[in-house]
Amino acid sequence: MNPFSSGTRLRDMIRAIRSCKTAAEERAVVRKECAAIRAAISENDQDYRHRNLAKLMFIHMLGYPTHFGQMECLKLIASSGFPEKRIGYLGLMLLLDERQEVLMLVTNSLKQDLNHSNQYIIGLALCALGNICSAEMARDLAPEVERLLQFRDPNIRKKAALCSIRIIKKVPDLAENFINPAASLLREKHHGVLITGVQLCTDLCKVSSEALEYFREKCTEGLVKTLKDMANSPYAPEYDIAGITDPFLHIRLLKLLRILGQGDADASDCMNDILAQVATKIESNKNAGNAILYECVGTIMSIEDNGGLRVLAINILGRFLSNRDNNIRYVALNMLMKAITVDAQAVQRHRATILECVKDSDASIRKKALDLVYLLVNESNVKPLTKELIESLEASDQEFKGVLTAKICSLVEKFSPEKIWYIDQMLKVLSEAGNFVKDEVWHALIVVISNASDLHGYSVRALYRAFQTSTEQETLVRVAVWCIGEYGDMLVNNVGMLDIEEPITVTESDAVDALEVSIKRLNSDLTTKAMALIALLKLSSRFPSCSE
Amino acid sequence: PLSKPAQTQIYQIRFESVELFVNEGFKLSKYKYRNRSAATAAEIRIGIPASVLSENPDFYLDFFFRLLSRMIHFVLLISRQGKVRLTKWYSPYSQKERTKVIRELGGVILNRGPKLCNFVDWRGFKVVYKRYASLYFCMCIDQDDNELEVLEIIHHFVEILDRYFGSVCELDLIFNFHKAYYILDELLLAGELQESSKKTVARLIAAQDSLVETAKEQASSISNIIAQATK
Repeated sequence: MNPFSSGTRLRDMIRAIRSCKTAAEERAVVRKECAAIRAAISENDQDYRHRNLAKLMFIHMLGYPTHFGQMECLKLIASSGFPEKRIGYLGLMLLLDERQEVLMLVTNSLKQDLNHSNQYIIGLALCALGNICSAEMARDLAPEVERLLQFRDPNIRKKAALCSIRIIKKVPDLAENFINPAASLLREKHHGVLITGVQLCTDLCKVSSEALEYFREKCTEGLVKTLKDMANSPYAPEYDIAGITDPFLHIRLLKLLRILGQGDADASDCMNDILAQVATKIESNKNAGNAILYECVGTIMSIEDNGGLRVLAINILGRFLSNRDNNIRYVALNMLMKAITVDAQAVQRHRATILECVKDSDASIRKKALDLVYLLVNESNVKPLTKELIESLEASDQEFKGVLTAKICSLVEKFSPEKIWYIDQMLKVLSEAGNFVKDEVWHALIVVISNASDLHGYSVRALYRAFQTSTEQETLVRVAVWCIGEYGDMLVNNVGMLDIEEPITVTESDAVDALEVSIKRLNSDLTTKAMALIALLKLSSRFPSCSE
Repeated sequence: PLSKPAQTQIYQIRFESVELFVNEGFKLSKYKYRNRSAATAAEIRIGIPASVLSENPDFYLDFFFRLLSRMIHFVLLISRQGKVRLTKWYSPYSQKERTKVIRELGGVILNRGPKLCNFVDWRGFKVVYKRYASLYFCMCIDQDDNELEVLEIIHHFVEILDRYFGSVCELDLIFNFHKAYYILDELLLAGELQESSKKTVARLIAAQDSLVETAKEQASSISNIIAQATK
């Protein structure tokens, strides 16, 4: 009797579930299967344990509760056969999370399996430990994992390296123990071990300053050489992606070099040549190449300044920014935001392209570009930048308008050189997107206008003009109505005309009509109507002829 | 020490280094993490009052782990109809949080138009996604991580699946989901890349599959049948 072939097979259960037409039908099938599995569990059935756990995992992915199967994982893990352990560990990782106390019970099995004679079983244990262990388990089993960093098989060494990363994140105090074994991994040739070893060193540096100093002093040169060898490596079919040998290793080495070079002139010096080589030689027509260039630029920006390298880096970013590929442009914008702290002027040179991106059809790009523009604004460029942003406002969709409006208002308020410019910009924003303008903002506008006595006439005339064309913007109507109420006489008599203004003929009854329209218009809310009424009241004392 | 931080605020703060300690002698392991890949390494200490922490200490520990770790936080495979085909969690997320994440993220990604970039900013993290036929492969990473590389990792995974199943399709991943997980477990561990050679991954999987086959054959061997009959 083959225990793997009778009863409801996994495949059959999946088929049955998929052929259900309604949620209720599916629930019924699942309930039946769960009942059968529960019965098998309580009878301590050995034969179908493997298959039952697989079924439970599928049911779990559908979203049903499966906690009754957790102990089954433990029993399978404790079995002696490889197939049982394989599915047991998978079940453990899928059905449990580290917060469940049941997990602790696996510690003993893990310890045994980490010492198993079958290396694939060691691999299973390392995998489970590295993905799901709690801090206590990490502490208990750290010595085993440390030992496995020097195991004879490279596939175990690489798993042990990554497992160690989880351990030091959970129990940072243990980091010091891993420094020396991690350094040894850097001298290996096996790509898997190198990738994981480099990653372990990187994370060690983040957790322990002792580790950082050690690697910086002892390993920088070796890492630079490894990267050089990779960059100059002949075609290696096993690792080749888009004509580059092992881009993943390139990238990880660049990440570690970045951490080692940061804040240290000597270490940075050491890596200048290879960074220049990577930045100039890597082809950027495929994603893999671009991923390396992106990482390289990040490293150059973080380490100690070398003028030539920085120029190279900004140039790469400039190229990325004008790339037709959306991904590349997104990534360029991201990197430029970080480059601002390093070389703001260089980033300013790309302003035009960045502004184009604010109008991009991709929401992710628009948002990033807007964030970047916001960081680029200063007193000298606020005027042209605001002009561009307001133009983008006209073309943007509802979702983006809100964010863009808020940013423009914030910039205008923060940087405006003259009051009249401020009023002009606010008027444009109100006309285009008044409904997105927050209360504090238009209140502030009214305060500014009322404090700028030389601009009262200008303001009321400008608002009157705007009001004629954009009555659907509620906030614009409110501000206009307030102004007309306050300065209606200036409007009618063209008081305080500035040189730049064109004359405008507004009679008293025109002004009153405007207010009437505001009250009567369909979408006027209570606030607007109230303000219009008050304005009318103010005018009635000044325009006696229109008091009816 | 700060007073209780509002939950929504936390998602937007970037930390250089966080030392999570507990006031008033509450028993909890100290968590210290220093992130030095930013231009300056400032150190911020976040003190959370014991009364707040004692309500849900796990939440804070998990939260800071996710916030500060640079790694792949989780992998998600969903169909165009939003059905989950594979989920793998490398950062601590409770079962409830997982359901919420899947629902929310699924909605965001399935709504993205076809010609847009493969990156979405989500809750302070970045999600890299790519559509292959009827499936969306999604990986959640940190804001500062290399999203172009993660695209390559996704492609690496897909190519390995393709070689293993021979022109993989969604049905393969449904009926053989456990095998897809075995493959993923040879590719990523603790949220990091484990192996850059597709050949090596294929070899390792084949070796383990053959161990399982051998066990099956042994189980159905005649001597076993006899042993069963004479029990």
